[in-house]
Parts: sequence; C-alpha cells; structure tokens
Amino acid sequence: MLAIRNLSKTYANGVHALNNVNLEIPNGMFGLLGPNGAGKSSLMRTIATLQEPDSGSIQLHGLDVLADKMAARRQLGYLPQDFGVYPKVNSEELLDHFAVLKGFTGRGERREVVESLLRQVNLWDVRKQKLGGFSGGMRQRFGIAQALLGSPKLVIVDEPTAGLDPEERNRFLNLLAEVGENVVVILSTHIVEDVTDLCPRMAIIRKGEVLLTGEPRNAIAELKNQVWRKTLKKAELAESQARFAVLSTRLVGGSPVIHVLSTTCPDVGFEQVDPDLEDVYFSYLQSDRRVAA
Amino acid sequence: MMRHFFAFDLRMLLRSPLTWATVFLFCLQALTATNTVGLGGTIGNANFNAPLVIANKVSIFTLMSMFFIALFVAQPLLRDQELGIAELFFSKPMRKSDYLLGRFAAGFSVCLGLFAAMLGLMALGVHMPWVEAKLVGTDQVSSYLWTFFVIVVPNLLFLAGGIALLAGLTRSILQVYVGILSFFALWGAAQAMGSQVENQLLVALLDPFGGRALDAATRYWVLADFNTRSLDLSGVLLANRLMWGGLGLVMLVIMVVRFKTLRAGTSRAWFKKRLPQSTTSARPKVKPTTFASFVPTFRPRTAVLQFLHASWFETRGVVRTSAYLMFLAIGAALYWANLLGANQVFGSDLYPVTSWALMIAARGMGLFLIITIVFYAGELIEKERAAKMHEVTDACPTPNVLPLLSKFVALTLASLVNVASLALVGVLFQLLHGYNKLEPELYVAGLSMEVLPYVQMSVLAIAVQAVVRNKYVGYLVMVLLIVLRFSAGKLGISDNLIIFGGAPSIEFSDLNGYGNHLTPYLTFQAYWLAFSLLLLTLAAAAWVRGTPVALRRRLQIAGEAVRQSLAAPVALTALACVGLGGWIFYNTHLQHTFRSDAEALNLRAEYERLYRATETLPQPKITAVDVAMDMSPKADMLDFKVRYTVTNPHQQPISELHVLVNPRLTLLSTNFGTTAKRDERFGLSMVKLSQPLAPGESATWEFGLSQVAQGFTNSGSQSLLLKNGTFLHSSRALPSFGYNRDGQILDPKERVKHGLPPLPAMAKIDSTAAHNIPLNAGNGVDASDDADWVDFNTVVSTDPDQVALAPGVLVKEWQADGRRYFHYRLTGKTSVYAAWLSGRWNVKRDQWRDVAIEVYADPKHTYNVDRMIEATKSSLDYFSTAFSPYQHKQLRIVEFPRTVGYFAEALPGIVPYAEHLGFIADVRDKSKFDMVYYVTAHEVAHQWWGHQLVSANVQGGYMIIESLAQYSSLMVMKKTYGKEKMRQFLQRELDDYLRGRGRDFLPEQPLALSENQPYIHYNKGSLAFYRLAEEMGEEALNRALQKFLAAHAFQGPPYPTSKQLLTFIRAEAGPEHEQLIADLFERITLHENRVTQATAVKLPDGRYEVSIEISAKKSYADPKGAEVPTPVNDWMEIGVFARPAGASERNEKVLALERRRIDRETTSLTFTVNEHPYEVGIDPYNKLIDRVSADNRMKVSSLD
Repeated sequence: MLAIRNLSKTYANGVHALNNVNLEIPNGMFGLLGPNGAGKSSLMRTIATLQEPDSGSIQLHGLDVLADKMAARRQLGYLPQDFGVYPKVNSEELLDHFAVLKGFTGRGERREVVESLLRQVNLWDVRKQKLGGFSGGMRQRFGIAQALLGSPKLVIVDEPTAGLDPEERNRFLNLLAEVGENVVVILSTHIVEDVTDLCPRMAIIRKGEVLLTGEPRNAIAELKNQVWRKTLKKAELAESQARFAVLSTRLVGGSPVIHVLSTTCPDVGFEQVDPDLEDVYFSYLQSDRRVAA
Repeated sequence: MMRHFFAFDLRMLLRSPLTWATVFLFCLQALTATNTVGLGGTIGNANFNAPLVIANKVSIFTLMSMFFIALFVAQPLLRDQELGIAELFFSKPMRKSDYLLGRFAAGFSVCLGLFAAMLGLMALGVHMPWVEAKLVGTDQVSSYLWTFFVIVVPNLLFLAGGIALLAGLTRSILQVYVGILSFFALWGAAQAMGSQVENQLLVALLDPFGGRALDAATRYWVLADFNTRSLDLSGVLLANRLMWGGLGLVMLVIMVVRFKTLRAGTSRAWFKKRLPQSTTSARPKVKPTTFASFVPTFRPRTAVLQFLHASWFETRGVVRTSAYLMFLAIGAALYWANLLGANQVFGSDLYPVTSWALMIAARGMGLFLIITIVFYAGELIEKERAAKMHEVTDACPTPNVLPLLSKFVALTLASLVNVASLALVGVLFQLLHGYNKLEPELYVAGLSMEVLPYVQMSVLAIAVQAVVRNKYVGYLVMVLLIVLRFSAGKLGISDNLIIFGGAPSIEFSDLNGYGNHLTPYLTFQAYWLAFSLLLLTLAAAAWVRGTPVALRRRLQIAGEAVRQSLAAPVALTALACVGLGGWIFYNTHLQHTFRSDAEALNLRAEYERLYRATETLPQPKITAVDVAMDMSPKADMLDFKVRYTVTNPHQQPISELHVLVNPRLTLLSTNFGTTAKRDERFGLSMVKLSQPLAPGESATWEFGLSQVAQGFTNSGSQSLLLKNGTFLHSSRALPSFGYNRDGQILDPKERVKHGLPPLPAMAKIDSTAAHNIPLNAGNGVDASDDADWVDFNTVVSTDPDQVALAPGVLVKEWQADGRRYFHYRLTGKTSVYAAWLSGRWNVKRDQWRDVAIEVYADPKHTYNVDRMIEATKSSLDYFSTAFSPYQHKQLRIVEFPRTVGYFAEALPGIVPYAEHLGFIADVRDKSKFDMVYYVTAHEVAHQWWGHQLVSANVQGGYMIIESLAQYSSLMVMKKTYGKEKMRQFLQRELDDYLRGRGRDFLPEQPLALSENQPYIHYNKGSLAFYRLAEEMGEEALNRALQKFLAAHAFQGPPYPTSKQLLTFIRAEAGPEHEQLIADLFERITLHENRVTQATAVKLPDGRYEVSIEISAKKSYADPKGAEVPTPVNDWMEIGVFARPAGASERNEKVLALERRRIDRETTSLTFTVNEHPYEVGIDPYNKLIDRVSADNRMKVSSLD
C-alpha cells in the first residue's frame, strides 16, 4: 500500500506541479491518467525519490519514502518516461550493471537474475546485441526488465507505451499485467486504453490536482445513459460544440463524430452509447474546465 | 536566402552566453599577452610590440582558437540535427549551399571579429601600467593589420574549413572535438619532429599556423630587424599562407558538396555490421512464465562491492571508446617521435637508458593526460544524463558518493593505462635500439611518480563537472583553471602550498635515484592528494540526484551531507590536508624563508643596493687553501673546516672582512676576529679582525662551516650533498670575501624594473683595473678576485661505501671511525677552483706517460669510458706537443647525476661530466660526429686554456678560454677523424651562431670583445679559429698560441686579454692575413656568396669545361645588427663536384677545389674537369659566415 498525503510542489517559475495530492494505492496496477503537463511525471519522480516535494508525505507499506530514501530505493523499480540506454553496450552487460546498482553484488546470483529477467522480457536471444540497435519496443522491454530487478514492492512506469506499435504495446502491457499482482504498480499514461485494459484502480489528475480516484468501472457506471453520439457534417461542428456539452470530437471516415454528455437526448440524430473510460476521462477534464471558466 | 541564414545565426551566436564567455576569456588573454601574464614573452631583447613578436603571438592564439571555432562554426552546422529539427529545414525548398554557407559565414565572422578585437586589445595591452615603457616601441598600425590579414585570416580559414568539413562529414560534435584534439596532438608531434628534419623549407611550408614559415623568413634576424623591420609577404611565407588558406576554402567546398541533408545514419556505414534482421521484431515464442523472485540482500559491504563494480564498468566505458584509444595511440606515437628526436646530442645518438626514456616520457605525457582527463571528466559525469538513464541510476539503492568516486577511479585508471602504454613504448624503443637491460621497476616507480599530479587533476576535473553540471561550461572552467595553474609562476605565485598540485620537481638519475628530493616531493603530493580527496568529498556532498534543484537548496543538501553522512571522510581528508600542509608550512616557511621568484629577485636587487658600495672595500687575497671536508651522504650531513692563507696586497691595513658563505651553510666559527654584523639573507658576515692585516702581511685563517639538516623547501631538498654522486663545487662551499658580483641581476629588463643602473655585461677591454681580476673557466660571470694562484690541499672523508674525490694527487687513503678518508694535494700553483665529489663509481684506470688517467662512471654507464680515455690521451698528446706540457700528474673524469646539470666542467686535473652528456652517448655509428670525443677534448683543453692561462675578466676574456678550447678540441678531432667530420660540426656551429645573434639580450660584439655570449665565443669562435688555421696554417697558429702561453701561463695579475692573444697571432700570421684577422676577431663580418650560373660543355677529349659565375658580397654589422656593405677581398674555395646518381652530398667526389682570391662582386671562372660535373660551389663547405648557405652551390646545367 502506497499512501500519498497532501503532496504539493511549486516550481521556481510558479507552476503548481502538485497541488495537495492525496492517493491511496493498494497492490496491483494503478493507472494515473492525465493530459500532458498534468503533473504525472512530477508525481512519479517524487515517489521515485528523484525530487523533493514542498510538503506532504509518502508512505510505502509504512516506510516513510521521503525520510529514508535509501530504504525506499531498495524496494523501488522505476521506468522513467523517455528512458535511454548506452547504445554501445549490450543488454546483458547493462542489465548486469543495473543489477549491481540494485544491490546484487554476488556474481552467481546476479547472473541468474539477469538471465531470468532477460528471458521474461524475451530479450535473452538478443542479449549480446548492442542496445543502440534495439527497436523502441525492445528498449521498453529492457526498461521493464531493469525496473523489475530485485523484486521491487513498488514499480513506477511513466508513459511506457508512447510511440510503441500496437503489437509491441500489447506485449508490453501483458508483461506489466503479470507483475502487478503482489506489488504496487503505478502506470502513468495519457492513453486511456492502457488504463482500461489493465488497471483495476485509477486516478485522473490535471494541473497537479487529483480529479478522480477509484475503480474505472465505477466511474464508467456513473456515466451510464448519459453519453450520446452523433455523426456530423463538418459545417455543423462549430455550432454543435457551442450548443452541447461535447466530450470529444473525432473523425470517423472523414466526418466528425461527437460524444455529448447529457441526461436526456440532446437533439435529433443523437444515439445513446455505452460510456467508456475515455468518456469518463473527458468528462472530468471538462467539468474541471467548466469550473475553471 | 544565404543572407537570412547568416543574419539569423549571427543573432543566435551573439545571444549565447557561451560566446561572450569565450570572448571575455580570449580578450583577457590578449590584453595581458604582452607581459608576464598569459602567453607572455618576446624574442630576446625585442620590443613587446615588434611586428614579429605580434605575429608570433597571434599565430599561437589561432592555434588555441580551434576550440572556439568548433563552438562558433561546427555548432551552428550541427545544431538543428542535435535539436532534432534538421528535417524541418531540409524539407524546405532552400538551397543547401545557402543554408551551410550562411551558417558558416556567421560563425566565421564571429571568429574574425573576436580576433580583430584581440589584436586591438594587444595593441592597447602594451600601454598598460604593468608594462615597462622602455620595452615598447612606437605603435605601428600596419603590423597589426599585416598580422590580421597574413596570419589570422588564412589560419582561421584553414581551421574553420577543416572543422566545418569534420562537422559536415561526421555530423557529431563529439567527433569534431576528438578530431580537433587529434589534430592538436599531431601538430605537437610534428612540431617536436620538425626541428630534426633536414629540409627546413618543407617544415616551414607544412606548418598550418605559419609559425615555422615566420621563423624561416626571419631565421637570422638580429635585434635591429626585430624592432624596426616590417614583415614582408613573400617566398615560403607567401606559399605557406596561400596553401593553408586555400586548403581551408577547398575543405569548405567539399563540406558543402558532401553534406547530406538526409537523416544521419540512413546511409550505409563503412564498417558497421548489418544488424541481424530477425531480431528486431523478436516475437515471444513462449509465453513468459511468472517472474522469479530474487531479492538482493543489503550488507555493509554491498556499497563497497557496488563501488568496485561501478569503477570497473566506468573504466571499461572510457578505455573502450575510440576517442580514448585515439588519444592513446597519438600519445604513444608522439612519445616514439620524441624518443627518436631527443635521441641525439650534438649529432650523436644516445643509448636509450631507462632514466632517459622516463625523462622524455615525463616531458611529453602531460598534454595527453590533460586532454584525456578534461575530456572524459565531462563525458563521465554527464554520461547517464546524455544517455537519458540518470533517472534510473539515481533511483537505485546506491550511496550518493558512488558516481563521483567510481568516475574518479575510472579517470585515474584511464590515466594509468595511458602511462602504462608509454612504458611499453619505451621498452619497445629500447629493444629495437639494441638496449636490452630492461628495468620495469624503474618504469613503474618513475611513471607512478609522474602520474600523481594527474590524479589530482582528475579529481579537480570531476569536481568541476559535478558542480557545474554542464559539460561545455565545465570544459571552459577546466581550461581556465589549467591556464591559471600553469601561469601561476608568471603571476608571481610560486608557493607550492597554494598552487593546485604544486610540488618541487623531481627527476630520476641512475646515479642518485630520486635522492633527497623524494621525501619532499611525496609530502607535497600527499598534501595535494588529501586536498583533492577533500574536494571530491565536498563535490559528492553537493551531488544531487534526480531533478536539479535551486542553488540554495543544493547548498543546504551539501551542508547536511557534510554534517551527517560524509562527516567522517570530510573530517579525515581535511585533517590530513591541514596536517600535511602544516608540516610543509613548517618546513618551507618556518625552517626556511620562503621566497617567490619575484621576492628572490627583489632580494638580489636589495643586495646590490645595500652592498655595492663595499665593492671597493680592501679585502685580502688567498694564497693557499686547505680544506678538511667531512661528507656524510647517507645522513645528509656536511661539516668542514677551511684554512686560508691570506695576504694583504693593498697599501692600507685591512681591519674588516666581509665573509660570504652559501646561505645553505652556517659559518660556525672563525679564529681571526669577531662577527660585528650578520645578514643571514645573503650569508654575509662582517668580521672585525682581532688583529688588522698590515700591507704585505700574511695570516692563516680558519673557518668552521656546516650544513645543518633542515627539512625541505618549496623547491625540495636544499642539501649540498646527494645520496650518490655528490658534486660540491668550491664556489658553493668555500667562503669568499667582499662584494659578490655574481649576486647581481644581469637581465637588463629586470634591472630596469628594479630601478638598478645598467650593468655592463663585462668590463671594457681597456679598463686596466679589471685586468687584475681573473676569469675562470666554466664559471659564468664569476668576477671573484679573492685569489690569483693558490696552493691546494684537502682531506676529504665520506661514507665507507663511497669514494671521495678532489683535485690533486692522492697522497694517502685510510679508514677511521667507520669513514673513508682521502688526502689530495695539488702540486704547483693553481686557480682556486675545486670540487669535492663523493659516490659509488666504477673506476677505469689508464696511463699517458706519467699521467694517471681515471674515469669514474656509474656501473651502468661504462659504454664510452674507453673512448674518453682515448680522447684524453690524444688531447694530452696534441696539446702538450703543440702548446706546453701538462701541469698535473693525473686527469680524472667523473660522472655526476644529470639532475645537477647538463654540462662538463674542467677543474684542475679533474673533469666532472654529466650523466647524460657523453656517458650514455652511442658513438658506434662512425659516420656521425663523435660527441664524447669532442667534449672530452674540449675539457682537457681547458687544462691549458683556463688553468695554465687565465684571462682577464674583461671583454674577450671568454675568447681566450672557450674559443681556444673549441679550437684545440677541433684540431684533436681533425687529427683523429679527418677533415670531413669537421664539416658537420662547423655547419651546426654556423647555424647556432646565426640564430644566437638574433636572440641575444646584449648587443652583438666582435669575437675579440665577446661578453659572456656563448654563441660568439663558442660557435663563432670555432668557425673563426678553424678558418684562421686554414688560412695561416695550423702550425703557425699553434706557434702563436705556444708563445702566448709561454708569456702568460701561471701569470697575473694583470691577466692577459684578447688583445695580447691577437698580437701573438698577428706576429705569426704576417701582414697578408691582417684583413682576415680583423674580419674574424675585430668586426662582425657577414658574407653573401652564391653561384649565379653553372654550365658545362663536353670537350672533344671527353673532359668537361665548366663555366661558373659567382656573386660575392661582404658587409660589416654594428652591434645592433645594422649592416654596411664593404668591398669583398677574401680567399675562398671554389669547387666542382661529381655525384653518382641518387647519392647524397656525403658521397660526392671532388673534381676540382681551388682557393681563389675573390675581389669583385661578380666573377666568372672556368674549370676543366675529367668527369661529368654535378654541382659547383663557392665556399662549398660553408667556412665563411654566410646566412644563406644553400645558394653557395648550384647544379650544373649541361649545354650538350
């Protein structure tokens, strides 16, 4: 159980990266959703002991993460956003290096750990290949392998699927799903499907504030019978956006399709659809926008 | 379009703080370049703003500018790609050349602008208050403009073109920097080798910075030229400038043509392995099983093991990079070149002994270590961040100090690998040169000793990068710190306690090892190591993981770390630093008086101001010297008693004696008076005589002296003793009387600075008072008039495992109280110069008539002992026949450690001879000049010139002592080796003379008036006497010298001058050589001979008729170098030579060689020779002083 209380951080330029964040994260996958610049990475880095908050506390199974960073690091696996590698080193060598940094100082044990992890992430066959030659998906799999070194109790993955093709994305999410049973896994993303597919619990954050926390299906249930869809002509789009509470606009075959939040049918031509997490996500972002306006 | 790119980039550059930081740094250098700070210095006595001085300095500046050219030229070309926006540009409909040339022009303009500013500041700099106005000439705008267009523009074109090409082809700023550093290193190597190459024209042409071409164009300039002559752009200089500037343009064009606007990495690389296709989409074949659970256990030793592993990982990361290997390879190659280049002394090879190989390694390795350290400190510290991996490593459970410590270890190990590779190169060189006494332990000890300062520099570099956290700013800071550190001396800071990494210099000698310098050296190194580790710990404390934080918070974090987690190491290193520093301070400042170089000079000035008046104080003359010298090299103790028999030669009684002793010694007792006053700073005691010495009266006085062991000083051990091979010269041991002219400042510039009146370098030849002062051989400007001729007797004792030597016959040798005693006595009167030596040598004895010849050499250096004996024998033979009998019963040659100096010195019957001079020369190659033979003969000759005959301490005194010794040794050489060998030597003498006259502090004097100007009395002396001997005949000249000796040997005061010598020579030579003698000795004569035409016609009888047209000019120069033409009327050799195809001059055949009197500017001559002529020449062997020797010969063009 990871407990985050009253976490706040203001950067030197005045941006409130974290604004009194409170989260209780049990074992299992936890999705952290938010648009770019919402403060996800700040939160992740803070939990990963790489950044100090102005105030607040973080407890991992009773351990005060901010006070005893060394102890926290021993239980931590972190795959940062935009993770890079030494291009001229092969994966086995680099994972071996990380293993030492994670505390595996015995040679025999380390070899086992490295082999086991490379096999899990299916990189064993290419272990002698220089990391510079890895594809994006392979590199992310290597990233998760290093994050899992030392059986961490807390795994943080920051936007891991950005830029992956669907096949690699699936493969990566499968890997994550296996991990996330007995430990806390925080998956930060702006891709709603990642959360839908994987996470029993989630939070939506924006401008450093937690807008929602809970189980995705409960959030979806709350929108039941309130989401309406209509395919428009391009010319009608502006008018519709002005008239209705539009959750999202997307093009299907070149024509705009809008989702509108409404307790009743907003207009002719709208059909009710089953809400999904994306609708939830947009509804929260928009409610916030409305409040702010 | 191009204009747009230009303007845009210029704005970008001018907005960058890095640009302004660079501008500031270089402008500061330029402003202070004039004088003591920065790249100071000038040429000889030339003004600070003499045209050539400016051009030279700016040429060096352009070399350093490579680093900012990379910033201004390469960076703009690569910026878009680094930022990942290159494709935005290349997908636009623009011309590639507009884009590239616009950007290039922007960077290039900034470079040009910076140099224009620097030149302006240099012009301003000479008028700064710290610059002595007397050393500044009138401002000449033209010389700055000339420099800008002739030096700066082509140099920058070449550099910028090359760097742009490098950037365009590699598309990596890292590769550009690696390329620059490699070029820098190669250039350094070429510089080192350049002076070895015979074809100096080629060397001049090939220097991209024009320095060598400037050198060649002004090779034999004299002072007057430097200050007034403007440089002209012609000949090799013009060719050099056009070539390199043009090459720059060509490289720029190639860059524009070859620059690929495609994404980097999309073209096929040359050597890269193709990636196996299948792996890129490695599909999971088996469903992964659940994760096995491995949990590491954390123990106290985990951190240590992590540190060891990380150190290893980082080290491998460095030593496997191509840049590191390239630096390593270039460093090794440069070392090899240096070994080859330095492997010669006076044209003789050396045996590559290990101590010598180490010396060469120490000389050259600094540059590469500094480059490697500075470069890789930045790379290592920013490694994780550059790879975007820092967030992972920062979140690992490792101690905070791990990154810095492991990176420091990596850098140190990289330096060690670098140094170890030098050892391998050294061993390889030794083996290939047939030297198979391998001494790995010497390499290990020597190189570890040398690498210590670089370990400290590694720490500094790591700390700077860790604190700055910006690689390029870090580099800039490091370069600034290094420049500051190496200009500390020039800034007047010489206290090794406050110069980072400062320590006394240490050198290894086979005889003496590191001797007494080892302990002080290691103490200083330990002190700086402690300081460095403290620095590293503090940098580690300020090391913040993860996201950068504000400075204030960072300091807070550092403060916490210092108080808590790092308290122990901080306390420990600080304690060590303070403890060692305190111990050093106690030694260097409390036990000894510390003086910076400037303070030492001030002190000398003060001595002169305070005591110059005592110059006329009547002091007694010493007539007998008796010394009981007790040396204990092992215990480093020296005690001795000096007994002088003195007499008063003056008209009035002497009641006050000024006794000067070496300040390293203590005058414990005197038995002839009471010390009224002491001035410890100068070792001066003013003794009130208990009984005044009446005119003509004699007395025997005793002085008790001792060297008190007192730790060490800022420059290491001050002991007069060495562990093995002590060479204690009388001038450093014996008390002297009265004012010491040796203590005066001689450098005219320094005298001006200290407000001292100008000092004549030597008394005028006609000042009769000075004729009473003897000039003694090999002792610099010694003007001691304490003694004329003395009786010498000494008993010297030393440790039981050493032999003690002194001049004279060994009367008795015995052992007592566990010490060895030797009693030496010189028969007959001798000059006061003596020395006491003690060491463990291998002795070889021989005999020439009744003279014992003994050579004392290090057991490892016995190569040339026989050669020395042979040279001694033939010298004694020649001189005793030609001049006069040898006055002693023995002649000893004694090796002393190279750390003492690089010279040989003739003392009465004993010749101390430096380790690396002669003892390790390899003279097996008979085609080369035998340096050992020459030096030995020269020193033996001093037994006549300097010890039988002492000249007066006036102008020309050195001609008698040194030129005659040169002449004498040349005659012995000629007799043994033949005329042909002399040529090599005389050519070197000619070149040294002509170069020497341009770089002298003093006005040039004719040979007979030489004022301690070695290029005159050695180099010109050889040429003059050799030519004189050829013209008047060797025997006639020797007769003159014989008579000169007979008239003046063992005589004085007054001592003879060069005037007397010339009188004897003139008497033998006769009036027909009057003009020659005047030209050689009393004037500065320069010839300008050349062949203007040489043709040959084959005669019907198979012979050849050769027609030669020659031009001969002569001029006389004044002491400032201004020349006045004079009609030529000299005997010269004219020759016709044949040469087999492809053969060199050495193998040529003389078809005709005649001496002709040439008395017209142009002369036509005809020769008939038997063979096909190859070449003709006027003065073909360059016996006359002629600045351009090459045009004395010309190839014959056949008319048939």
